[in-house]
Amino acid sequence: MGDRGYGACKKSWRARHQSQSQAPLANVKACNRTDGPPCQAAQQERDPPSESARLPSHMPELTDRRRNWAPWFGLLLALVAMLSNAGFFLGLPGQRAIPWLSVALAIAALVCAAVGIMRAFRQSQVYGGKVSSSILGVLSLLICGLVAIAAVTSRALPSSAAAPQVGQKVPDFTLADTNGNKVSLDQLLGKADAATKTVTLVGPPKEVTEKLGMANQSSPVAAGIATPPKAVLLVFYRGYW
Amino acid sequence: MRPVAISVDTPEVSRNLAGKAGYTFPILSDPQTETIRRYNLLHKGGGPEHSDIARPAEFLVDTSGTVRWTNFTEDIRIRAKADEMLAAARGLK
Repeated sequence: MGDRGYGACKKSWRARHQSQSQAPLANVKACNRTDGPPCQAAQQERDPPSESARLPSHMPELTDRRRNWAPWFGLLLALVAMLSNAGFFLGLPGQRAIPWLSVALAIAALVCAAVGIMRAFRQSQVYGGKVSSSILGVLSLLICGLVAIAAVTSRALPSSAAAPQVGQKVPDFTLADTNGNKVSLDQLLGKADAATKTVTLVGPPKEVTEKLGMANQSSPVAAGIATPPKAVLLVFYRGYW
Repeated sequence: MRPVAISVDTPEVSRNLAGKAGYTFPILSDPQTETIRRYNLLHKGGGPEHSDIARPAEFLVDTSGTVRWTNFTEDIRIRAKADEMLAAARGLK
């Protein structure tokens, strides 16, 4: 080849590298032109980004976000708070604790729902479920509202301070039974009627006696045969059955 | 011990209740709340359509008419149990 061949080779190598190095400049110059390709496209052509560089470095992958369980747990607690009222009808022991238990569960449910919503909106990079947490939060709030209404209305009773207390005499009364017969407190206590010297037993209604096949026990009985009760339990109830 | 139930329900309504539930004790009617007021148990507007009813209460009364045991619930969902009433009745001489 000789010196002439080496020089030609060097010259061609230089020309080749100069063209490669000028390519980005050419692209930049092309960007500056109004009819040239976009700068970003030129940049990508020169240096195609890697997979991990497409996303900002501070942003984790979407698949790395945690499941937001707090709103679901809140809804579950709200449902348990509402269903705890079934304990009154089932005759479970410890009924006096059920009202407070249902209120405590409702408060815990609202706290969990609030935590879930805050996580979804303030820590969206870590927790997902903005829509689901909002829906579950509203449901939990509605259920807890029902629990609160039941608790308030059930305890809205007048004071019983003026009612007969232990050691006091109860007022006498005369009321109609289910058979339409007038019944007094003295008759219920089995006290003999001074005029007729009889004791009238107050029996069950006709529907019950007929259903059970019992004889009608509401007929007057001679004094001395009937056994008066030791005590009478007066049960006042709300009615409207 | 003889239980006696009292409410504002009419005799017809109470008869239906007793027939369905099989109650054999007397159920008395106080639709005008006269006895309920005398016992100071009126719950004004506490019933459906703001009707006057009785608040729940139980009295154990001996043969002399004296109260030996009472129960005034603070929550209508909580009622006195039968064993509590029987225990109070057994204490009577």
